[in-house]
Amino acid sequence: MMKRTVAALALVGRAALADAQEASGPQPAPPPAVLEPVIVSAPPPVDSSSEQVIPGKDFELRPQGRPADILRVVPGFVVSQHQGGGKAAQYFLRGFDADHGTDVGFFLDNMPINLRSHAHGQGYTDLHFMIPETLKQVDVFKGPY
Amino acid sequence: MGAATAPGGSGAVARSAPSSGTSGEGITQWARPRGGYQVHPSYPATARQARIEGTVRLLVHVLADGRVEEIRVEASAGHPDLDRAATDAVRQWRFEPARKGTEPVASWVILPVEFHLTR
Repeated sequence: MMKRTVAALALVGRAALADAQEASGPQPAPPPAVLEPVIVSAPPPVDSSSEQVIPGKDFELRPQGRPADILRVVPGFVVSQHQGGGKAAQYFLRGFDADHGTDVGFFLDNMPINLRSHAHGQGYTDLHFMIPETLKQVDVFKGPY
Repeated sequence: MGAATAPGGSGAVARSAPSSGTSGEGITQWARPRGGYQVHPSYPATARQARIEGTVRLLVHVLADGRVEEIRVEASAGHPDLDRAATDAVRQWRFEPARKGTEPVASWVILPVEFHLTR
């Protein structure tokens, strides 16, 4: 009894397959497939005076001693290095000492750079891995946070 | 990424579908992006500054080896820089080629690229 049921199912299955093949067989040159869309999003252009976009031109034309020095084009932002290097620069924002990145969020291509639990300073940001020549622009958001 | 067959009439596509390459007849599986080989377009600063958003439909000729041979803008996004950004990125893509049975063949696919300004 069981065997017969299975055989019947198999027959039905084959018939359905043949139908499908017949239906898709004589399709005349289908139009190109439409792939899933690629979404490109970006923040809207700046709309407050404390927010800005610094295009690559602004720092490409200046000699840069250290990668983090490109941030000197940000008004109110001071970058210094009180040692020979090998450690993160010292940052100052609006006159306040942000140490090695404490209280300032740094991102490269949306990747967070701050090391939250660094022993030397929470939020320690070493920008020496950055290659200034490959940067397209710097986005700056000075918020009340 | 599903390789869905194109909905809609073939009229608009047929007009812009180039005569070179394959007709798409007999293709059992469409070309689709291959994981890890997609360069994401960047939002052009000019269009962003002008707050221009839009969708560009690219007609992409994918060779049997998965490389992109030619890209045509089927429908512009409304700003030449958006079209260019999309084209420049997709030109570097690698695809899983379309197949007729098991044999890889060249094919045209439509790839929409949407540009949105979001916070």
